Amino acid sequence: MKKYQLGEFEEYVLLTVGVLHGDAYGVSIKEEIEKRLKRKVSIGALQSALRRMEEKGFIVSELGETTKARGGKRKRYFKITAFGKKALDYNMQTRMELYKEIQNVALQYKLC
Amino acid sequence: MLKSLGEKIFRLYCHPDFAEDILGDLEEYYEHNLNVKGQAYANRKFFIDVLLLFRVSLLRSNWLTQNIIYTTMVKNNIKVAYRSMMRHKFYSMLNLLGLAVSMAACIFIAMYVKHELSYDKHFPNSERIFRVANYLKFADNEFNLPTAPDPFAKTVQEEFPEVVRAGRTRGNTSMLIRVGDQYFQQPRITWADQEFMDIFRFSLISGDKAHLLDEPNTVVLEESTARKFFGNEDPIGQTIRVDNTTDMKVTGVIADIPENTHFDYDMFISMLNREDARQNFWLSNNFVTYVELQNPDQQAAFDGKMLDFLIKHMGQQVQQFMGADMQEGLDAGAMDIRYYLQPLKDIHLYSSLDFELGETGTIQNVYFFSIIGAFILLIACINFMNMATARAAIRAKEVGVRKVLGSMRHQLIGQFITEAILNVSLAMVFGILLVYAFLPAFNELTEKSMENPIFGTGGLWPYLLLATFVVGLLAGSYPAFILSSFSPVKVLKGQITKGKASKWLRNTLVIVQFAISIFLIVGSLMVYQQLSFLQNKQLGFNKDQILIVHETQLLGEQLNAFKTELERNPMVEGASVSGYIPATDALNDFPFLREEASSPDEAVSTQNWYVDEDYARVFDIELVAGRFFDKDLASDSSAVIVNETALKRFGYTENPIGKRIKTLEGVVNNRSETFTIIGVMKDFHFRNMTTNITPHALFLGKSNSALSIRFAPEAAAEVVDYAQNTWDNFAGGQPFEYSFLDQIFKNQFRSQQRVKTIFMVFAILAITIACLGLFGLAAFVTEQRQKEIGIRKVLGASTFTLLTLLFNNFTWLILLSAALAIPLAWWYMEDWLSAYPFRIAIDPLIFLAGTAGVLIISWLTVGYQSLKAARRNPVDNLRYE
Repeated sequence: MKKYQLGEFEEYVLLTVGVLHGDAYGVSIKEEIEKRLKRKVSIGALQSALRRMEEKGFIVSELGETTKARGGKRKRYFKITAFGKKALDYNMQTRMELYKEIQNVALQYKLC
Repeated sequence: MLKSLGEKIFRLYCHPDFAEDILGDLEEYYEHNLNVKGQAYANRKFFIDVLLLFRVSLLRSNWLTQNIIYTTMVKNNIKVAYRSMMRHKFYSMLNLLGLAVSMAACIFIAMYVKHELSYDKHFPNSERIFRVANYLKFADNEFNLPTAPDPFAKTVQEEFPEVVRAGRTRGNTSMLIRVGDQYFQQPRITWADQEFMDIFRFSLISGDKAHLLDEPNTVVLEESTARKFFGNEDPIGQTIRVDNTTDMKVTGVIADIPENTHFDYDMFISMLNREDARQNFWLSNNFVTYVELQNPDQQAAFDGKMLDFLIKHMGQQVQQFMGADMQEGLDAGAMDIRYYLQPLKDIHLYSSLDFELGETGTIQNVYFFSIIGAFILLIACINFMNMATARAAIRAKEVGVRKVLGSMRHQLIGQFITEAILNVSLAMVFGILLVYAFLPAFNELTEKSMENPIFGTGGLWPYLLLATFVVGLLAGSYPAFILSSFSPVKVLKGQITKGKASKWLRNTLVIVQFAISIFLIVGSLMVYQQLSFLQNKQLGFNKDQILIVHETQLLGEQLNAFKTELERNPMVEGASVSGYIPATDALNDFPFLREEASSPDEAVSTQNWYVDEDYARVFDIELVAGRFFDKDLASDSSAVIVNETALKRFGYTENPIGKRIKTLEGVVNNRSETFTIIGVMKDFHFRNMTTNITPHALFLGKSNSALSIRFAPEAAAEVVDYAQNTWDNFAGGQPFEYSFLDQIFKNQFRSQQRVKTIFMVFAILAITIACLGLFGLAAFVTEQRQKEIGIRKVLGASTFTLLTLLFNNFTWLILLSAALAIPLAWWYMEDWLSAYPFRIAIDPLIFLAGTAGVLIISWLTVGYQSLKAARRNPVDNLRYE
């Protein structure tokens, strides 16, 4: 478990990086998450989550070409790694296992 | 504007690898915002985002993102230190042992010093509390007393605005207490004012703090005493019967007064029970008086006003009782009266007046022990350095290889210091274990009761932690610098000088160690001699085979019948009723004058004891002239027997028998009481062996608090049984209290005994540690000279020649240290002995014996190694592989 340590926000970011395959950089990831989850994402939280996961080896990054836009600053594109994929699988799987274990009774809501 | 500032700030803290793309992202947002919400918002948003991006994971590498220390290197250093320790187990053990023992000794000393310095500081407002002390001189009688006249406290409180309150205590006695139908012989009882309680603010367990002793017949008990009397019952309001005469009510219970207090009382009786506490008499000093000032700076002002105050109040009574004008007497120097304040916190260490309330310490002792502690630690550090530099050759190759592989000098220094600190830490752990193991012995020796001095509240552990590092640095720095300075080329070529450069240093260190050891050994020998001299000196009376029965006043009228009954036993050789017993510090001082004297200046301060006619026989007191009291002569009630010293002071050198002496009171108008000298006793040590014999007079009179029995040899047990049975017949259930005089006498030497033990312990410690060092050093030197020894042996040297060769060096060093230590010891012991009126002369033989002892011990230490080397087969010595 320790090996695939993945926080909730980190998981969303990782998923989004996967979804945006090839076009995942700071702004696009932020917009994608905000659009899908309908919640505000702070740049600080996003960037630190990205760097953290890069350090853990879930994603890799490379700098793009220099363009005139963005004051001549390059974009950093993120890509999910095989290890990152494994972490996602593991997370999903454990979650599903847990979900399946719930007995039907517990989901029949009644006023107590 | 805001944007460029934001960008600068961001670049300042952000990791340079991340700065570009994140700033690019920010730029994108900025452009978006610029289009949608306008420039002001975009600028603001940019700046806020920059601030919010301050995250640990985005920061530049700094102390937060890096490891604080390079743990890998430290780990490596520790590993190397451990390996080198394990490789030379013998040396490491010697080092550790020496360090641990000296650390333990230092911790003990630190505990002692800390305790001594803590006296009386636990009272709230202790810095504002003072004790009144005085210096009095009449003619040639001098007094330094911690006491004041009875009206003193009340009067200063009324007249001096800076005095918040003033309170008194008097006495420290033992009385019979009856609680219900149980009897207790309760020691440490004193009488005290309510103000005394207010000044010291003892932590009250129960009772009303404003009304503890403000009525007659009230007592305050210490918690443990209350428990002794009443068990778990509530003591407040209970009645106890004191001395079988007075019923008193318990009004308060206070927590046990801490041990580090200059007085030691278990029970306080209201001062209102004492008649003599309100007689308004300014010429006797019997009350220990404490003053609380508004602030501590007023002490000097208070002392300054004292003289006028004394003349105002005391002057009249001086005139009346002594017939002298106080002002004139002071001006003429005939008398000197000075009262002054002593700060409470200084009493224990700085005050040594006549009749202190308990045993006081001295600041000299605190300094002395601190110095000894520092020396012991120094010796251990020296050993450590010695051993490390002496073994430099062994480590030299390692240093060379490390240097070649690129070690910087500071890294090597770090390595050796780590090694030293590791050693010291280990030694500290052992030292602490030793401290806890020897704590009971320490408590017995110092008469303190420490339980958890290191890890308890206010414990020493922070200091010990600090000490570990300081000692580690101290002991490690010198070898670290020496070892790290080796040139790798020379070392690896095998040209290393084997630590010759530091030879002079090593020798100095050895000399210092042995000088200290010799000093301590000589010191303890001399303390021992002085002590046995005092204990075996002729006392002038016979202290053996005397049983003392205490509290005999409880028998009242039946005391004489009790005595007669005792005398009927054939084992009892004599019995005498008198509370004044030699060697028990019984004191009753007032002045007498020769008959013809007309001025109070001629007064002789005399100890006056009341005894019965059997006293001289029971105590074996020798008379040089005249006779002892006779029961059948009525005139003996105005007779006196004086000692030789008194006779000299009175000036009656020839034919003293029949001469008279008179009291100081009434000398002016010739109404003194006179006494006729009927006998002269040989001077005997009526107080203790550490004070001079002063004028002493015996009167026939009533003093019924004790009865002394001289019994036949070896009949002690029988006589105690007999006395107890007889007592039970007379006393009706009151407890039988007894002691033996020789036991009391022995107890007088407790403080000297203690000095002796302390000296001895330290002497043994010092010599042990020094020898441990010497042993290691000898082993090393012998090892270095192995080849030389082998060659000499092959060429025909005898074992004896070889031994002389090896011993020579050490012998010279020790003789040198003796030359250093002997004058120092002479000077110090002369100073110590000068405090004793009866003392031994310093015997040069002691110095000889001390030096010889140290020499022999060190020869034995070196001998094993040397002999082994000298007797070894030269083949073994010379073979290479």
